[in-house]
Amino acid sequence: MNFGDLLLGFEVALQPENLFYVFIGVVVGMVVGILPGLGPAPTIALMLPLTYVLPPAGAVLMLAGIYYGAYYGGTITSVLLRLPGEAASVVTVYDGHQMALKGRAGPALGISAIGSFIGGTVSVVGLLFLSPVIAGFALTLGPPEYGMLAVGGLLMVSTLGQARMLKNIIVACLGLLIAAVGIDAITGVARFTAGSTELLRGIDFVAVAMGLYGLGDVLYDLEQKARNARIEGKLGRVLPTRQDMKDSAGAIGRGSVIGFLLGLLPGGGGVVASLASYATEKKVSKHPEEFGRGAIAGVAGPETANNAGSTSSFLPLLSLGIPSNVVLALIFGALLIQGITPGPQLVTTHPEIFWGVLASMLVGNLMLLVLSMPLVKVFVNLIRVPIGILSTVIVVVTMVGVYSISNSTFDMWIMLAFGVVGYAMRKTGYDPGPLALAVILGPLLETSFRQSLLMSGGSLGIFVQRPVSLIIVIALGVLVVFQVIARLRSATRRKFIEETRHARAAEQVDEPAPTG
Amino acid sequence: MTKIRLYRLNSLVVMLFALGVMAYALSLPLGDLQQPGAGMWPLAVSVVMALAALGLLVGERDDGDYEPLTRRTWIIVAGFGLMGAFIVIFSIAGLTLASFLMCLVWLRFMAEYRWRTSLVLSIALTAIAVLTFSVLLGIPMPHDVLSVL
Repeated sequence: MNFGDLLLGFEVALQPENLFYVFIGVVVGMVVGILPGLGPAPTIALMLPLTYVLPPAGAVLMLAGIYYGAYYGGTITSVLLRLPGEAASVVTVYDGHQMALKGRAGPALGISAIGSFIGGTVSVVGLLFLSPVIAGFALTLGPPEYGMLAVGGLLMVSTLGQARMLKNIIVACLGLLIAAVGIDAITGVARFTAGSTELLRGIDFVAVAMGLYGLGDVLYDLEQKARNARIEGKLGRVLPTRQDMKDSAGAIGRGSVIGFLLGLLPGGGGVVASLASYATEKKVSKHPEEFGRGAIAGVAGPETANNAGSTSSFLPLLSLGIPSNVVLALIFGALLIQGITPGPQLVTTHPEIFWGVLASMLVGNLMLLVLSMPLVKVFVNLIRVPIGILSTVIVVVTMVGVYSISNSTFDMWIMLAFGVVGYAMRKTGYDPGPLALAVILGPLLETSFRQSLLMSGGSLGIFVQRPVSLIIVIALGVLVVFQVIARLRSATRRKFIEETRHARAAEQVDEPAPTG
Repeated sequence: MTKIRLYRLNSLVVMLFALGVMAYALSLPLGDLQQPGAGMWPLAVSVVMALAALGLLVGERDDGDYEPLTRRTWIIVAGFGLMGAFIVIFSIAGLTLASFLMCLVWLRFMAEYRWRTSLVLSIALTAIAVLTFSVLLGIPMPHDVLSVL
């Protein structure tokens, strides 16, 4: 552990120019977290071309700001409007909105901001200890281990996603094939180019991401009926009372640890962490019946875990080059645009990025805390921006934005094609998340796979002969079996509940109606 | 006549796609396991994809995941057409005209604003787009026909 590194991080994060980028990121993130239909992934996709003109550290700091700013924006709409802006805020709806109905929206938002700040801080301190270990460990990994880690990242996202596992695997395969378009890096053979010279350089990830998320999401939302957003409940005072703090202290502590640990896993990050924290709080609470009725611990825990998880999930991205979720895949894309490849060398070659991002998260969270208290009433009105105008703006911005990357109208067509794909996927129950991740991980996965085979003289056994690779394979095997069992059990339970309901309904029909 | 189930159709389309990729991958130099060629990886991926599609064909039993096409769906089809038109106009006539026409048609017909509102909003949005992208960010754009004005 080296405090000098963290000091360097703060030096980077506190430069006026970078403070400005963090500020812009946090505000934009919070705004889009509130705006209907836009989550962190589409926003970062929309901002990718803009990062082209920024310095590397500034670009990543800004995108990271959007990431956690959007989570906080999602919290605001969860509490006040019962509309989770994005997946990580879904559990906040349960108790946060109940608190709002009781006139305690202010403390719910206040404790979220405080918890987020504490969770983020705990995570940064944890990373201070862990990152040199992971970075050193990463240097000892070879192609088989990297291949398995990449497979792990894809499998985790595929099995944890909301859509069916098989559908996620299909989507991930499609992403891997898209990543294979262009000239094969090892043999120089053109693949999937159909004679097009433009396709020789491959399909640009930014165009894919902007199509899938920018256009796909917006058109899907435009098709849905406009949602009625009505602010319910009073904001009340924003600062939590002493009793609130006492009630939340345990939840914040546990949330920090849960979030930090889950964020380190592939497929982890804020969403899983917030769900796990809510479940834990309900289990350890002396009054579990209060959950769902406005228990402040049910807001404090998940919000803390969410931010701790988002912070620690930067470690696998920046030290192994494995993004654990879609948003981080997009930040990976931004780093690539800047000519920086995230991986084991990043901590030593670009310490200012690694530590700058972590330090900026503390600064950014502090900004959120300060900003959100007085401005929450102003921000929440953004929910009224009509989807019609919003979609117009997004279409123009995505179109011109994608053009600006390499001044090519070809990329615009690619983006349009992926807009259609993204829309069709949403209509047919496919989650576009694994696709974006697979496009990013594809080159790493293919190269590791082929290099491993070269190393072993064609034996696939290499993936289970090396100890670290074997451990990853076993862990993945256990995960998949566990997931399949969990899904089967929940399916059986659902079936049982359905059948019982039918049986009861039938009984009620048979029974004579009570009189009097 | 039995109705073709959407979920079956979906699995079949994916399966056909995977088989097509497989055939294409086989036409590339495959190499062998010791020295994998350019086709080996796409072949492996398409095999996994085809197996997953097979699993879906056998395992998926309902249409719950599939949202029906509604009247509004056609608005989306029109939207994609409009975006295509935008790209064409953008590459021929530049940002200003493309952005103005796009905003106008989109706001009037997709978002169903009145003509006057659409016109005012389109001019405002186009001005913002041109100012941001061309002036502020200095992105080199295709020749703008309105720049002569």
